Amino acid sequence: MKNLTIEMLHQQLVAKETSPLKIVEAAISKAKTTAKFNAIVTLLEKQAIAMATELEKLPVPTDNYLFGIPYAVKDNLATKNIVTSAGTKILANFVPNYDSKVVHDLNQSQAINIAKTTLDELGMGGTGLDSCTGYVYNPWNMNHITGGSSSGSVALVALGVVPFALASDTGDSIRKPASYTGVVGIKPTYGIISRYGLFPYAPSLDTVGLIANTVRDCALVMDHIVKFDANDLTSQISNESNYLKNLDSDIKKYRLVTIKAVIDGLQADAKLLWDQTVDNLEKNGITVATIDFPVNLLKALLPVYMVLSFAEATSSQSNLTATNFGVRVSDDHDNYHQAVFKSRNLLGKTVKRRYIIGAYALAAQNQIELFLHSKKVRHKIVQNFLDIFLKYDGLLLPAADGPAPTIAKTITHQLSLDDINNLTNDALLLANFSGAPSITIPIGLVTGLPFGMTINCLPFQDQKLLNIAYGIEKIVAFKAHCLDQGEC
Amino acid sequence: MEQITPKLLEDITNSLMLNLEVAEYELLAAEFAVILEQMRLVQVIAVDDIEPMHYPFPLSRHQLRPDTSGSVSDWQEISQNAPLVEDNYIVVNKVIE
Repeated sequence: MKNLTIEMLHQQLVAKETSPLKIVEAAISKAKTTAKFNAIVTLLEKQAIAMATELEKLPVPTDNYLFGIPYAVKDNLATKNIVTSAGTKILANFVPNYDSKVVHDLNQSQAINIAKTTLDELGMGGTGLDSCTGYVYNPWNMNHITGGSSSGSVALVALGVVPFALASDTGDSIRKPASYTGVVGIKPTYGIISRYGLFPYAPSLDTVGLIANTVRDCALVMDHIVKFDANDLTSQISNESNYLKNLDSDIKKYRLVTIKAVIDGLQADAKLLWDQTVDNLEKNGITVATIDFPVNLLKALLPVYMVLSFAEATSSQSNLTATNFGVRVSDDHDNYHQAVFKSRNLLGKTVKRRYIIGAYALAAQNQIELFLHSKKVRHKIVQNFLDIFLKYDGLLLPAADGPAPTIAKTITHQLSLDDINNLTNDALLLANFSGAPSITIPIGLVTGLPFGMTINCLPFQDQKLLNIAYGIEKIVAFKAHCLDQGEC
Repeated sequence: MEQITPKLLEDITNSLMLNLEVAEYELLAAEFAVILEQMRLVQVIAVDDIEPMHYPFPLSRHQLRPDTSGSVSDWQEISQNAPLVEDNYIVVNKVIE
């Protein structure tokens, strides 16, 4: 099933060359044979087979591309009667009695959820190495990370287990892992897909999105899940619809741009691929301008993100006390404090440290200098970001400074002052700060590993974003190139 | 900003009802040093006349509606996921003395 898109599977279903049950059985079989990558926390074999069996009785609707299509769900999205642990031991026994809105919508569309996927604990980590269920390994090379926090979702699509998977993006949690694993990952405009049922990390940044093999598949799925939701107080109304129908790869009319300081930070091999890609675009009649962006604001991205997201996490996850729900670790004679202390010891080291830093930023003595100032700097960054689109339609950025690093290198990395001098690795935060839509597509291989380009547009211009990505995807032809070379 | 001291870190950790090992405190102190140094660079960014950004967009999409009463969840569905149920109640172990 590797490299089969939703569209391909749908065509096979319509032509009666396969059936929902056959597709689901193949997906489950593949999930089992690729278990060593640790992308799945819960395989929903019984439920998926039962639903596929029901769909066998129905005619295949030609206008519903998701009918009988298997998909996977990041385990921080609530699924009714299915453990939803968000990668943390303290929620290892948490079984929601409701579906998150996005899962509900996909189920209504008769797509079949076959697995809950591994993530960095509570969405925090960014490596795929911070889940309570262990490391997720890169399908291209098991010595390398997948990135995170949507590590399991990208790995399952890259492995060809499912043609698409749900995920979430707070800093770059969809788009950087997509680059590291050679798949397409989209973070739509903030709020146009409901966050109802998404376990919050930083609510002012959290966005539900998806992973797929192609831009067309992303557009297709978005047609089913972009909806206003009264249950999500941050839900936004998109005036766009029919993303697939309106997909247009003619992008010569668009003015594209990139940021010099971000490109300058690329590793040499990645820079070579980037330059080749831009040359290729220009040969196809697409101009990519280069502009400057205030370097002090680029350097502020990481610290501002840390202050805001850690502070929001401290607050939004303060209910993880194992009092009303979750795994309680206590003896009969423990009082409330003892029980909560013991239970919260189930939280991982990264999460604990982030809570403490967040609490410091929220403390009355530091709030104005840290938290409030960061919110103002965020606004200034966003103003500068939005100004780019006064002249341009799409901002092209590398998804990272290079391909996926090794696990060995990642686990020894410690936060350092030098991290803010890397202006390439954190540039994807621009879309989270502003709520802008942003998509990563693979553009080639660097030292045998995939590498991606991230396209950004103005908020609520998701169709334009998809069109630009579609046009570039066609020119780059990454999948075709890989198949020719026998590399994917 | 408050100066980072072992006592301050311990106080925050306790207020969050968390336990850290000695090595974790050391790593935390090192991370704090970096973050505060980074934040000092952020502090010099002029933000006069700039409003704090709480969310990407104004949250004005929701209309207030009259309250309506009704049952939104089915008891059977809720109770089947509870670890322990007794006499139509979910049993929660006592944690307050």
